[in-house]
Amino acid sequence: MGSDFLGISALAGLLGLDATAVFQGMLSRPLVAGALFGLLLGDWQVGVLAGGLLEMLSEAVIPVGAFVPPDFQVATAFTVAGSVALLKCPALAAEGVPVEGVVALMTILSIPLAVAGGALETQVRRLDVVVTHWVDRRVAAGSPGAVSLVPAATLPGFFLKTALLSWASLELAVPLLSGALGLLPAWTWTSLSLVYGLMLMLGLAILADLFWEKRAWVFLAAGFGVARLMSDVLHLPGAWIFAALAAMGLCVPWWLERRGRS
Amino acid sequence: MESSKKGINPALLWWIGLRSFFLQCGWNFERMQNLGWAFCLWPALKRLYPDAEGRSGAMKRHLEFFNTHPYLASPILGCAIAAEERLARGGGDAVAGEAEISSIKMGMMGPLAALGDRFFWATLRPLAALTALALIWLLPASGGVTVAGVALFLALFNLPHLGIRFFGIFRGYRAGPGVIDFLRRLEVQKAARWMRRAGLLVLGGLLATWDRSPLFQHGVHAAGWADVLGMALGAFFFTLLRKKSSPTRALLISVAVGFLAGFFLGRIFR
Repeated sequence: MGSDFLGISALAGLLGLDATAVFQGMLSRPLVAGALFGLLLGDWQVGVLAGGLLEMLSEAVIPVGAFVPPDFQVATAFTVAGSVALLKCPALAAEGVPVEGVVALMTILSIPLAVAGGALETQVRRLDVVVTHWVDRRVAAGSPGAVSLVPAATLPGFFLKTALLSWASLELAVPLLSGALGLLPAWTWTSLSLVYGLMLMLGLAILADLFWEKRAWVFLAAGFGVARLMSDVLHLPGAWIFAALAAMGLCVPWWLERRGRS
Repeated sequence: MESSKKGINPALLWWIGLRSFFLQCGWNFERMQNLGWAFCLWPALKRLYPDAEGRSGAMKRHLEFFNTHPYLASPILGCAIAAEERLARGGGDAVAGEAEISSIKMGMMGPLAALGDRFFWATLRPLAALTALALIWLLPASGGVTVAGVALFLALFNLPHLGIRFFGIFRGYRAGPGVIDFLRRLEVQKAARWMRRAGLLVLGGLLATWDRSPLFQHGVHAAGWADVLGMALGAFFFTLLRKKSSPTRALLISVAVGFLAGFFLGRIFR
């Protein structure tokens, strides 16, 4: 367990560089990181349940200007690695607790960690002011090439704040939880499974809010109707439903634009 | 100030495009992306100004405040490189040339930031995530489908991202500040509207079928009442969000309702 936490935390730190410092190619997103952590830990289902949920919840956060977002890489690492470890505990494994319930619990606990990670990033950005002044002095002294050293000076801060926080929180929380969770009554796990479903609905509501515009009901209803028809009446498998929705997504708005309806 | 006989060539622009991945490596509260911006431009300044004095003078210009959307900094980089090249070659007022470079950056960073935030963060990223989640939820649950979903998310997002990063720097270099008109002609707002409608279609489909997903093993919605509760609360959350309520409040409500429902209703409808 210890080496898993160290490995996942180091990977979270590397992927976390993608969130702000380097690339910004969405490798740090909970969906990607969660799936990767889950696959590496041998439980892809936990990875996608946690990563998918955190991905939807995090879509409500848009990094604009000087705003420092919560650290969702720490949240993802904590939720996935912690859930996988807890599900392997003898006490929980014997009770057959639902996977969604464990993921819901770890997701709730990860949120203050994400906020703490954001606070740490604020400090890292403050430290970068020191680097700015150092480069100013080097340029004034006739060495403008010092700017090439900026990534070496700044990237360790971004890496360490995610990696250390992930590792510390997993090492502290998981042993405590594995002892305490076995004592919870059965209805708690029913409740937590429900909480997972409700957080999922919140995630869908967040996405709906982002996409909402005039006549949005028409598109929502069209997708709902076609999917229900294919599923309940025609009994087609999910792959067909996905293909139909993708085709509608590509063609219907294009057709409306061509007809000049905005 | 000496200028180099070697000018800016495509290989150098590609190299600077790659360095643009480090635009935010030194993000700080004083001058935001200034360090990353200077890091990106350094190879061009080295090429244009072979003497130390010229390089230092040019570098000082590029350590001032800079902040924009990380992908849409590329057109501004291209414009700035072209302006530096004109300044280095001389044949004009140096002070006016330096002022032009500063005004290019200051004038373009704001509009391109707004465009990038609205298109990439608020539209393309959630659409790519929703499409990938739909694939993972609807297809038979497996590690392979998970990998396919993640790959779909990364492809849908990064094709436009990488396109604008590299194409933008070349376009900015050739068109100068006129690149803004070019971006306007791309009708990004229309594309964003198209994407939002596609997102709503997929979202409607997911609402219709999420309770049939092979991914959810233990009956998050095994009981019919849980399904109804979920849909009702989903509508409630949406109403809260449209009224600009905080998602954190909605999250706390979901936790509280879930616990209460599990305790009371779970016993009644066991």
